[in-house]
Amino acid sequence: MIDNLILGFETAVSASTLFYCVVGVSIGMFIGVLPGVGPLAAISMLLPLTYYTTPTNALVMLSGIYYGAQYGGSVASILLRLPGTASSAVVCLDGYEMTRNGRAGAALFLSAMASFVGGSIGILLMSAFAPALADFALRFGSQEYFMLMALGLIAASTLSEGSAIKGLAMVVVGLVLGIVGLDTISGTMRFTYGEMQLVDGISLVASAMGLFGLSEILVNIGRGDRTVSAQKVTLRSMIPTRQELRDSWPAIWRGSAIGSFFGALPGTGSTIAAFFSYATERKVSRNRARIGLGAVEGVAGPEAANNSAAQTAFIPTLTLGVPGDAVMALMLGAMIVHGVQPGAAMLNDTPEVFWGLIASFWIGNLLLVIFNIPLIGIWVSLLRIPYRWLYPAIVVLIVIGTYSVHLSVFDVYQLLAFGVLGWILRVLAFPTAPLVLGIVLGPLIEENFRRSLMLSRGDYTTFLTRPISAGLLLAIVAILVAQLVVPWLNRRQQAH
Amino acid sequence: MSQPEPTPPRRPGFLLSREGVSGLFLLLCAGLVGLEASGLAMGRGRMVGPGYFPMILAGLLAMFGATLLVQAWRGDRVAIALGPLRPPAMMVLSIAAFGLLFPLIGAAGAITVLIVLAALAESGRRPLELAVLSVVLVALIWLVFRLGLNLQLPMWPGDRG
Repeated sequence: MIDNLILGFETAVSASTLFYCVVGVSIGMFIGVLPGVGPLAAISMLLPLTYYTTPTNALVMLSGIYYGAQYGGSVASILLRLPGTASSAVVCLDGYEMTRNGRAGAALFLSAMASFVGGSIGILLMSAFAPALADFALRFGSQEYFMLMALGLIAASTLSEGSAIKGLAMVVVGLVLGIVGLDTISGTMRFTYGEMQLVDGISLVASAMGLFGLSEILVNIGRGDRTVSAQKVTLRSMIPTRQELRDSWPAIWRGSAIGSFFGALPGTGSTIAAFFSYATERKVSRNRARIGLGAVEGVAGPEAANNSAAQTAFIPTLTLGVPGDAVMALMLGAMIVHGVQPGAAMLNDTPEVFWGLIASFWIGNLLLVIFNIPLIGIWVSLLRIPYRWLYPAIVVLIVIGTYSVHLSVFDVYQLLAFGVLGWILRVLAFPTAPLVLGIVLGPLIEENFRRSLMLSRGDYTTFLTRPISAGLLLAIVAILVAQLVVPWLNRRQQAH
Repeated sequence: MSQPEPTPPRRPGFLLSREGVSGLFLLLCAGLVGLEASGLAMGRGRMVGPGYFPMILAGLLAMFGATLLVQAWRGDRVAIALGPLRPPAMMVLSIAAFGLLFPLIGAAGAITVLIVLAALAESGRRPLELAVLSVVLVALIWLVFRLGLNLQLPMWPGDRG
């Protein structure tokens, strides 16, 4: 592990990688602070830019955007009660109360500290367990991969907020969109309707940008300008009291443990981790009576949780090639575009990419703490950019970025179609994140499904007779029972 | 387009409620997918054909759509909140205009048209502000994509990129 980490740091501290790391975390921070533009939109907008660099640098920058946005999201949550990202929504509760109590500075400092500690713990766990998991995965056959992907898709779509049925439906629509184009096994065209530009399938960049970037604008445009006023935060005000520090530590440890666990599971990510940590603090922390009224535990715990989850979420993505949420699905898509095949082989074939990425996570987390605490004033002033200047800039960037990938105007029309689809889905309260997960996993899950049946000569019991596959199937059944059957029974009981 | 009423009717008809329309939408998707899949080979036994997996997906979509319709029928009826339609429509139009104009007049002109049309989505725009915004964004795109990334991006008519 030490040798590996040294290899990683050798890769990560090279000038160009460091540059992409700095750019990534700064953009992520910026995006995270802006309410409404989440890491999904940011990563899809910047995906085209990474096609011009090496795979390592590209992944370093994209992941920097991801965890940078986690940091940035808490700034807007604490100061303005505007969650920049879903996972920082829970930090609004006590963070904003601390701001109202005049402790904004301390809340920001503690959240940065908790984020850093949580992130570091996540990284340590990742470097310890990823190789073991990758070794374990070498024993996986198509049946296991199929079940694992199905578990990830079902967990991700039913455990998030909103209707479980709608989440599942979006996964299925995503799977259909994912298999558009040439079927490589039989050489048949599917869902192309005679359009030759769809032979290679739907453009991941166009669909992600349409669903997350453009549809966000279509929903928000015309709802008037937001005016924000944030209080000034001085460096002096950021020093926490000794009592606040003492109260924070246990919450940080608990949050990191919760976050690392949920991050590594397929389908659960930083949002669930943050909410779970908050619920835990409300039950076990020493100041539990004050949770919700500006208690430091309510900030430190969830912050540690969502950042450690943001790191451990890379474990299944990198070692198994199975992403846990939409952000990880985009990362997976980016890797495939760059010719890096994630999975067990990645650790052996391209160790410098894997360990360089891990080392860059840690450097990026450090940079976020060092650079961004003094710069919080600047980030806050960014919130004052009027939306009517921001959205044309975002739209132009989205359109040109989409065009740039294949130098194709057809992709711009795809972007438009997905933007409109995203708008319709939002109006109908369908979640859009499972859709992208489906698009990325569509070809992979079908291939493993077909290969499983080919190996078993069309016998479906192959999914039951292999122990790991059967265990995963059991987990799927448990989730479906908990998310679909139990609520249905409850509703019936209430009706009577 | 008539303005939506300030308070939507409390109980819309079940097919027009949010879950009802969602269910119909899924059934439509199921129909489209099923239609395409039925034209593909299903395969048999150990050789699963290209139509097999899409047909399963079509079945799942139909099941989910029907479930939502049943939920709406049982009384889970929320009205659809569309919001103002002009701004998103203008936005869509502006991107379509970009797609049409870009191959003819290059990025500079197409981006300007995009920005002006997008700005019409919201009222109360000053022309000067728009001009400045267009110039700044065109310059930015030229700087980042053309100079920085060396992308083949024709900026004006006749420019080879």
